[in-house]
Amino acid sequence: MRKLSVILVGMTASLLLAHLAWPGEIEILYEGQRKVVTTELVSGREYVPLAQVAKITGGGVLRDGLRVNGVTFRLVEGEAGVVVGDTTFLLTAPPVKQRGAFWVPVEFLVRALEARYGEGRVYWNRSGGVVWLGKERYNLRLLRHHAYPDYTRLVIEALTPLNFRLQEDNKSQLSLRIEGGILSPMLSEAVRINDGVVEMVEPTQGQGEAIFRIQRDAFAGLTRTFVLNNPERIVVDLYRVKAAAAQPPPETPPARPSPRAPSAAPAVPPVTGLRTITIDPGHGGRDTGAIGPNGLQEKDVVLDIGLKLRRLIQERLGIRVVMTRTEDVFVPLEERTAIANRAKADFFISIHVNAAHRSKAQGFETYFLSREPSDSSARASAIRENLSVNLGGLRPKEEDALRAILWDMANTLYLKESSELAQILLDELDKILKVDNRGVKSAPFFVLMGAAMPAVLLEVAFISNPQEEKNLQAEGHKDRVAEALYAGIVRFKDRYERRLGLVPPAPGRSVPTAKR
Amino acid sequence: MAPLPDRRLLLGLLFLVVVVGALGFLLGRVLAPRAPEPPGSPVQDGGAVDATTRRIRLFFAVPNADRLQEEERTIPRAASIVEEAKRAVAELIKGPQTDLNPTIPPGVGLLQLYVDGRGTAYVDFTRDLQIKHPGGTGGELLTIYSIVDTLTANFGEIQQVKLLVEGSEILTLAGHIDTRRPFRPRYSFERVR
Repeated sequence: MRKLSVILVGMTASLLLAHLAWPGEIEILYEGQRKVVTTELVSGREYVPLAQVAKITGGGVLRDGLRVNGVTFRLVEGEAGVVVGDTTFLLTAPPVKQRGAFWVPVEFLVRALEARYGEGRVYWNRSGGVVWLGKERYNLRLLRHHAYPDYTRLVIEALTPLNFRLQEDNKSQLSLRIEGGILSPMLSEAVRINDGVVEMVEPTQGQGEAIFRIQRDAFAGLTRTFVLNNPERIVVDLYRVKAAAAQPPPETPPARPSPRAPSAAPAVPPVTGLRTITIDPGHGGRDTGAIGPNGLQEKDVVLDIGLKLRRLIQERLGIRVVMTRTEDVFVPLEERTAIANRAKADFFISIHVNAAHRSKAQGFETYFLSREPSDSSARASAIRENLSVNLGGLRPKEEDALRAILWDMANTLYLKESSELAQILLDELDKILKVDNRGVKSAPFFVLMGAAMPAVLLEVAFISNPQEEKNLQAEGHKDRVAEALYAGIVRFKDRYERRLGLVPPAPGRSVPTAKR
Repeated sequence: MAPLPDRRLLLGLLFLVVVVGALGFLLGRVLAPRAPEPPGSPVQDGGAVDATTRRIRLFFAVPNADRLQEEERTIPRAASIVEEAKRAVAELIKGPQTDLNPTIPPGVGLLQLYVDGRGTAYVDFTRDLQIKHPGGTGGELLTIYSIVDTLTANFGEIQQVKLLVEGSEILTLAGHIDTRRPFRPRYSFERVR
């Protein structure tokens, strides 16, 4: 404890000195020691040698990472995802190797110190270049935000359950006040959201509370707050002003016209039809996916098909395509649907090629998500965050009952659309491919779980079959697969918009179909 | 003229019913599902040769890889269900003896297997289960469910199976199916639409 107060004094002093700290150095104050580590700039970011991180944290450098206090961090050169136990966190930049040794971005040092001294104790002044152990532990870890079609969700991760209240300061600002909340250094800066509902969120440390000031944009005034546990989270939903809301205040113009509002220009797509598609070429980077008998890699084939499909959609359909990757890079599975959710995509298509052991199997199949009933409560908890239902103030028994209901809801939410999309894409593939049609199937896919939209996974061929591998090497074949998927998307879009009762596309602007 | 053949027919039918019934009863006794034998007790199932061995059903992939198919094999009886389950998985790793296809990459080792009080078997493999996996959703489903089906079909105590690699939970085998939760048996991957 005395040591800590010494540190605290040192910390204050160092903060004063922080402005004088040389760029290219980082100062670490811990256990009464002061260490200065020289950083090196790699692609504009500050890196430190992994060996130094090991020295400071009393950890050991492994061939593929670092072990600190019984926690193993697995690193891969060029990959930003760091595996810790069975979870992965993303660095802002990937580790690099210099003279055979790992260098890591400075925030990795913070993570490693957390492993050594406990979460909630390591503070980091990024601009001042100082990392220190604080006396007081923080209990608010980070802020996430997520844009849904109707609302924006803010999630604050806490380390312990805390009381809070949401109040309206004025027309353009709300404050979420968390009693006894102590902000982590990761919450030291305002977060710009600018998604049309929330402009930005600014966390500030108050006396005995933490305050999150929410600057709103086109926000309808309707909010919902609730808490989730494991990990502890405070969730705030802020509803969007409806473009055609019943009574918009007479004086104020509609907050922000939809970028695709109806206009005289004939080329503008319909108002609220299908607007954004996420294409997810499977695997990538260190994850090669399946490999054919002659060495063709799934990650390359599916990227080619995905990019071809993107070009067709952009050129002919004029709707937005968001890719989870456009090059040979590793993207964690959770990140793929997160990209689609952030883009508010209307649907998600994951492109893969199939494989099986020593098999003559050939053909194509399409999948949608099904879940097994045996999922753990942690999983259900994640689903609760994804669903907009208030569970605050429920007794455990009621919560269990609700959990079961939510479970069913999650199962059926996008099931119908997803299975329809899977069927349409299968039918279109069937028209052009002369191999086995293996049908529409369902399975509990990791990559589709987080999607807040209809989502399908396609296996367009068996790369483990020599003939199919050969086909997949031919540009013409990949073009035809992309054309088939494009035709399926056009059909799905038509059906989707007809169901919404939208006017069909303006005359003279024919919906192109795939050439065969 | 009419009554005579009718009576014969009736008698014939009665005979048939009796024979079929008796056969059914006998077959029923032989095939009826039974609670698993306590270790060491005499076995009398149709397939078992003696008390020291038992017949088990292993699930491998059919040549076009769209479903699993059984292959019978005899394994030595062991002192516990867990030990027998380990032997069953070891046989699964060895691969099929018919023209079915293997579902587990060659060289994969079984590290541990245990069953909890709620009927979940935890099956811990070496890292090769992931590294040497051929990939593909089809391939992943076959691997997962060949293990799950083999264990649940042969051991009444096992209702669901959770896969582990070197003692830890894994997210996926090769990037598709969520393996964080236990699986219940699924004997085919038939079309749902």
